[in-house]
This record gives sequence, structure tokens and C-alpha cells, in this order.
Amino acid sequence: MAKYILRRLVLLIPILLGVSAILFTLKTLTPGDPARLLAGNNATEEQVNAKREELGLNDPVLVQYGRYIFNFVTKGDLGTSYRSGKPIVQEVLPRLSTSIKITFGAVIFGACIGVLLGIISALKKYTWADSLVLVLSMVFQSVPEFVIGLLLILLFAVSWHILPANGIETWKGYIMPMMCIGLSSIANYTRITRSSMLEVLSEDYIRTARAKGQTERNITKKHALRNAIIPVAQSIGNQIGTAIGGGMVLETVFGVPGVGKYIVDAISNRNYPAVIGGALIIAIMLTLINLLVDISFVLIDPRLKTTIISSNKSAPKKKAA
Amino acid sequence: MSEKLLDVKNLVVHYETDEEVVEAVNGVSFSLNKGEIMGLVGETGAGKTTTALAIMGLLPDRVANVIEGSIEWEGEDMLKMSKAQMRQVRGKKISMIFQDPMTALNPTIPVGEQIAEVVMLHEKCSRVEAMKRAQDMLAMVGIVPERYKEYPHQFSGGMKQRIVIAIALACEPDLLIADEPTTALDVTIQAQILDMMRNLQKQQGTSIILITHDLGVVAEMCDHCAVMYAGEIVEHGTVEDIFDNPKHPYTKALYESIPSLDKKVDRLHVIQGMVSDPTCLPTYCSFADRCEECTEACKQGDPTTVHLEGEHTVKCFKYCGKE
Amino acid sequence: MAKRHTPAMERIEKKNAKRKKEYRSTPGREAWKRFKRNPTALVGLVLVCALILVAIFAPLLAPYDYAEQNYGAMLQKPGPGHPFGTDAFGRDIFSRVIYGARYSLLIALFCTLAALFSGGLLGIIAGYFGGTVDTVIMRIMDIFQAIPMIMMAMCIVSVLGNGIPQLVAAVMFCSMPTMARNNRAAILRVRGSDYIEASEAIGVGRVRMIVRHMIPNAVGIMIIFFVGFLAVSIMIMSSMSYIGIGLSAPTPEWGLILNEGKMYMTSAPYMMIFPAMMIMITCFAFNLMGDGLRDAFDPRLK
Repeated sequence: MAKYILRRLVLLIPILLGVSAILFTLKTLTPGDPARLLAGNNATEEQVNAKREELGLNDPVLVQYGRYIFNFVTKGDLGTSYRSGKPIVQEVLPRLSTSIKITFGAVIFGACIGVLLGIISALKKYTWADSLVLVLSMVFQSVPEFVIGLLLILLFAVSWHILPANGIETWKGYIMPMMCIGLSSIANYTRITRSSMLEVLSEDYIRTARAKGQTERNITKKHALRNAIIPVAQSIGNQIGTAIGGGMVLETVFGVPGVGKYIVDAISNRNYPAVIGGALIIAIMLTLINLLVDISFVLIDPRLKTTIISSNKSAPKKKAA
Repeated sequence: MSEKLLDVKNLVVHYETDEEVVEAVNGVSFSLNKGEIMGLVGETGAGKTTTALAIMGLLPDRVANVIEGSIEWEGEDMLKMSKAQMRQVRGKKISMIFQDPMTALNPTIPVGEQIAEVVMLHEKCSRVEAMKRAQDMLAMVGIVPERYKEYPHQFSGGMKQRIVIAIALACEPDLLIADEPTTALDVTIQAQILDMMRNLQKQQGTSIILITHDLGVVAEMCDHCAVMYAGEIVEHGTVEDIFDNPKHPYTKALYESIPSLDKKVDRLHVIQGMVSDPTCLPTYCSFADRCEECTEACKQGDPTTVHLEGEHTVKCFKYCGKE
Repeated sequence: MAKRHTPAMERIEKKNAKRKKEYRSTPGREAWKRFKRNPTALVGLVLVCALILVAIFAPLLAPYDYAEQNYGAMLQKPGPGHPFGTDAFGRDIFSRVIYGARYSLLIALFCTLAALFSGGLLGIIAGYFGGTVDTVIMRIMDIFQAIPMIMMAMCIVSVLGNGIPQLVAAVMFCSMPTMARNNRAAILRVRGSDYIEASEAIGVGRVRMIVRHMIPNAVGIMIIFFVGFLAVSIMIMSSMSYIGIGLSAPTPEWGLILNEGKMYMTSAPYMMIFPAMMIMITCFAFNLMGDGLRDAFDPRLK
């Protein structure tokens, strides 16, 4: 198991290098001269040139990239924000916990409701309850998160004054952003749970359980759910990515000071190092979370555990099949 | 005369979808006494498994319909029992071994627990006792009891089938329905499994319905044998009746299509034509279109079941009026 | 003919009697038959057709031009002259929403086509050739996938600037990993099937293999991706333009109309409700249709 985790960690390196390369390429493509921006509007040509030299902008791009990575790995330095002049890492890290809280709250909220609806829908297949669940979850899937957000604001903040429309001064501020992201992810969980439940319920071992005289309730709980939940757990990794993306927009809608809003603000201010730095930190976080999901998934499914522990080479093949 | 355990009378089961109706079982009747082994032989799609599932009360919801008939267990009609009553019967009184051991076990639950589950459902005992019993059962079917904590994928196909049998026999049922228990296994393991089933049957006095399309297995294992064709029992009798004195043209044709070790034959005998389409059965004898001894009468109406000497019955016009 | 007649049989016989002629069963016809039976899918199809008609005939349906400003009629509530009210510049929201269908659908179509061609092609190449080509492409896609879709799109637009071609490029790039993955899976599924092995065994040429055997069998799945991605691209596009990234005024894109209306959220909520409804209805219609198509092409998935 430790060997598996170690191997996965090593595999992270090329992915993170690739991500940073893509983002760095974007940064170098940005229009405008960062040196001029930093030096200020009234700077002379020499001052701008000096700034450029100081920032290393005269070096070849590859050298610049190498330095960017080197500084990040050794000093945790992703450059400074054009706007505030502060190191980007210092600005992003305090905001990261807010974004993570919202993302996790949303994923838990969405997964719980989605899985529950999926189970109901599978057990009552082809009845009105099934159709209702599917149509309802699809309605939520069809509404962009920010539209749900706007409707919730109109309802809870403008009409009823129960929840704040802006900010996260109290815990109440978290509720609406979490609900928005959660609601729009319900459809995915519902659909995966439903189809995997239906598949599992038609398996031979469910018939074996029935032949034992087991009650339908226990068959669902003991036999079906545990097998059906595996693909759902697998999909959570992807869902976290979507949730973070949705969070970026929603943090702006709800005025939540998270990484998403930081990046969106930086985009409107043409503060490119901040955009790229923020995106890189999010990408690293997402990759690590996906790794955690994969590892916990191995812990749920005994079949995978043995394949991974017993033979390292055949493991990916088995997983693909 | 031993007592009657199971009595199936005129069972008719249809599968209904929006597109078609499949006449899977058409008026099957048979009965089984305590301690007997009955073989149910026939081609794929002859309705053997449907009959078995009907007895277990495990026909798929909504799609399968029991149109007529009754299935009496010790004199009580199981088709009229409530779901809760049926659950008391399943696993405790009747249990079933399914065709494919590879998929019959839950991959995420250790095998010991899967055996203990059925024990805990039907015997009033603690979890520890149930696990103890599960280990005993494993030992009985020839698996090291210490392996009870392992998962199904850690066992081979033959061993999985032994575990399935251990589950089926854990509560010492009165009737065991074995649906092609050896079809998915290697020939060498087949013999072991059959041997084991026969020994267990002798120890526990269980009745067995053995579903198979292998006549050799029937000859070796069974007391009685019923031959099914297109959802009907075309011939039924003791193994001696069926093997030494087959009457129905279908049964005879089945024998002729078995390759023989002593005679050198250029071509195997083949039954002409295809199995009748179960969505569109003829109103006359279902086998008439493939029958080599077909007469005018065969295409006029459906033959009734004729009793010959002893328990031997046959459903063919050839024997009508010869009772 | 049957041994025993049941009510179910009579029902089916009646149904069969109604069918006039025997028809040849092809996978496409079977899929259409299943699609036709699915009421939600039909609702989706009707809505999509209606939206396309609205988009085509927008100049005829809209009473005003989408950019026409009328300072005499600012911030009017929905009423006879302006069924959806007017915005802060006195522009008719009904007309803007109608034209919005044209812009949103067209941009979504471009985005989807671009995504299918780039990501889809990569996926098909990876799936068909396998081996090193597959590994290289898919590892690169893994890297792209580490960045959330909408964040990637925003970063690209921030570099390229606002505008429709830039937006299309952004959506294309950010959807590449998903598209490539899905199409690769579709091709692999077809490639792994026995009939492809069988055709290989009888010596079918490579071109004929792709054209005659693989594409017809994968086309159903690709149509499903296509329709599903239309909804996704509308959602990405409107989310981005709502927070002011991607498109600029006075393009009547629904997200942008919402962006302009958010200042008046408390005083004039109607400015947001109608465009929001349009986004919902459009995505809902595409999703319903996509779902119906999925069930129709691959009934086992249901």
C-alpha cells in the first residue's frame, strides 16, 4: 500500500510540471509589459529597463520558467501581485481554506442528496417517483450555478432576509454558496448511483442473497449499496474539480473572499502573475485531492487492494477493465 | 411410500414485455418426495430455470407472471404465501445453487460472512455462533476454514462453487435446487462437485432438483428424471425408465445426439430444425415440427400426458389410448 | 398461435395489427423508435426545435433591435409595450432575450464543434492507434484535466481578451481533456468488439475499417456528446460573461444580460428572471434530448 502511494506521488511530479508549464506559457503570452506596469506610469525608459532586468524578463522563456519553478519549490514563491506588490502565495493561502471549506461542504451536500435520490430512483425504477427524481435532478443540472445563486439570493436574502447575500462574516454566509454548487452536482450523483444500483441489483449475487431469504431492505443496505457506491466514489474526484470551477463563479456572486474571487478579480485587473499563481495552487490542491480519493477508493474495494498489493504491474490494467 | 415434499401442479409462467409474450413454462406438473433426487433435463430455453425460480419465488418482478397452477410445499401453496412467509422458506427450507459461481458471490463481503448471513437469518444464534457454523460449512465443502475472512476473488471457480453450495446447505434445507451447478466448471472439478453434493445429500437427507442438460450427470445422480421441451415436461419417470426405455421421440433423439465412445460415427445425429419460438408456440404439439415420427394427429391438437407403467409418463400422441 | 392466451397477448396482437407494413430494422431506426417512446426526450426535442426557430427568426420575432437604446423608457416593468420590461438603457429585454437565443446558440454550436474537432480528433487518434501515441496524448490530457474547466477557460480568455473567437478558443481548450477521454473511450469500446476483430481477421483495409465499421458504431455515442456539450458550453459561456469575462456589451448573450441586470436585483428582479429562465430552458432542453439520445442509442445504459 505504501509503495502504491509512493508511486502515485512520484507520478504527480510530471503532472504538476505540465500544469505549471501550461499556465506559465499563458502568462508569457499575455499582452502588455509587466515591467512597465510595475514601474508605474511615470517611469522613464531606464527605470522600466532596470525593472525588466530585475524581474529577469530579458532572459529566454525557458530560463524564466526554470526560475519560476525553482523559486516555487525552494522558497514557495510564485512572484508578486502587480496590484498589491505582496507575494502571491501569501495572498492566496489564507483564502484557500475558505474555498476548501465551501468545496467540501458542497461535495458532501451534493453527494448525500444525490446518492439518496439515486437509490430511491433505482429502487422505484420506472415509476413516477423515478421520473420525478430524474427530471428534478436534471433541472438543477441545467441551471448554471450562478443562476441558482441569484435565485437563492432573491429568495433568502432579498425577500425573506434569512441569509446574508454577501460575505462570510458568519457561518450563515457559507450556506448559500455550498447549496448552489451542491444542487447543481446532484444530477451527476443521482445518475451514477441509479445506474450502478440498477446494475448491481441485477447481479447474480443479489439473487443469491434473495435465495437466502434476506429481506429487500437488507439486500439494498448490505449487498447492493456497498458495490454500487464504488463508481460514485470514483466520480467524486471529478466532481471536486467541477465544484472548484463553480466555486470560482459563486465566490464572485456571493462576495466570498476565496481563491476563486481572487483569480476573477485578478483577471479583471489584468494582474496576470496572480491569475497564474492562483490557478497553479488550485491545480495542485485538486491533484492532491484526487490522489486522496483514489487511495480511499482502493480501501473500499477489496479487489483493487489485493491487485495493487500483490502485483504492481497488473494493477492499472485491472482498473481499466 | 415416503411423504410428498413438493408438488407442482400445472404451472404456467409467461414473461410479458411491451413487445412480446414469452411462454416459458406451459403446464408443468411434478412432485418430489423426501430424500429424492430429481433431474430436470432439456435444451437451453426449455424453461428449466424458470421453473426453479418459480419454486423459489424469485421470478423477476413485473416481467414474469404465473398464469396458472400451484406449487405446494408440504401441502401449502407457496404462490399464495406472503413475501415474509416466502423469506422464511427461502434459504431455510428450500435453497438454490446458481449456474455461475463466478458472479453468485458478493465481491465486497468476505465469504465467511456470506455463509454466516444465511445462518443468522434463519437460526436464532449470535454472530459468533454463525461465524463458527460458517467455518464448519467451509470445512465440510473442503475449504480450509481459516480462509473465511477472504474475499470471493481470492478463490478459484471450483472453490467458489463449493462456497455457494456451503451457503445453500448451511441451514440444512429440505430441498436443494441446483441449477446447472457444474456447467461453468472444468470437467475434473465437475466430478468433485457432484460427488460432494451426493455425499452431502446422503448425510443430510436433502431432496435435490438437479437442473442440467447433461444426461450423463442425471444417470449418475438422480432417482427420477423429467425431460423438458418448450416449457413442457414431455417425459417423466425413474432414471431406469428414461434411460432404458425412452418413449418420447424427443428423448430418443436426445440420446442419439450423444457421441458414443464405443461406436465410430461419421456424423453425430442432429435434431432437425430449431427449438420452437417461445413467443409463438404452435397450438398443436410443440415438438411436431421437428419430430421424425410426426403424424397427421400431431398437427391437429396438443397431446395429453399419458401414464405408462409405474411412474413413467409421456406427452405424445403415439401412446394415446395405449394406457 | 399460442398454448394459452392471456390479456397481454391480445394487447400486443392488437398493436401489431395496427402496424401496416413490415419494416427493416436498422440500429438508427431502432434508436428513433426508442427515442419516440420517451416522453421527456420528445419534450427536449420540441424545445430545442423551438429555440432554433426563435434563433433563426429573431429579427421577425423581436419588436426592437437588441442594441436600440430608448432613454424615454428606462427600467420599465413588464407590460404591454415591453413584455419583459426594459433595462437601464431603455433596451427592450424581450428583444434582447430573443436575439440572445441567436448568439448563445450560435456561440455554443461553434464551441461544441471546435471542442469535438480538437478533443474528439485527439481522442479518436489515441483510441485508434493506441500504444505510444495513446500514452502521450492521454498524459497531456491528464495535465490539462488538473485545471478545472471553467478556470482554464477564464485564464485563456484573460490572455486572449474578450470576444467571440477568443471565447470559442477558450472553451475548446478547456474541454479538450473531457472530449478526448470520452471519444477515446467510445473508439476503444468499438475497437475492442468482436466484429472489429472479425473484420481484421478477414483482411478489411484500414480506411474501410474506420469508415465502414468503426464510425457508424461510434456515431451514436458522439451525437450524445455533441448534444450534451451544447448545454455545457452554454453554461460555461453564460457563467463567464456573468462575471464579466469573455464577451463584452452590447452582445445580447444571456449571461451578459444577467450581468447588466445584477445592479438592479432588488428593484427590478424581472431584468434577471427572464434571461435566467432562458438559460435554464435551453440547457434543460439539451440535457433532456441528450439523455433521451443516450437511452435510445444505448438502452443498456439506462
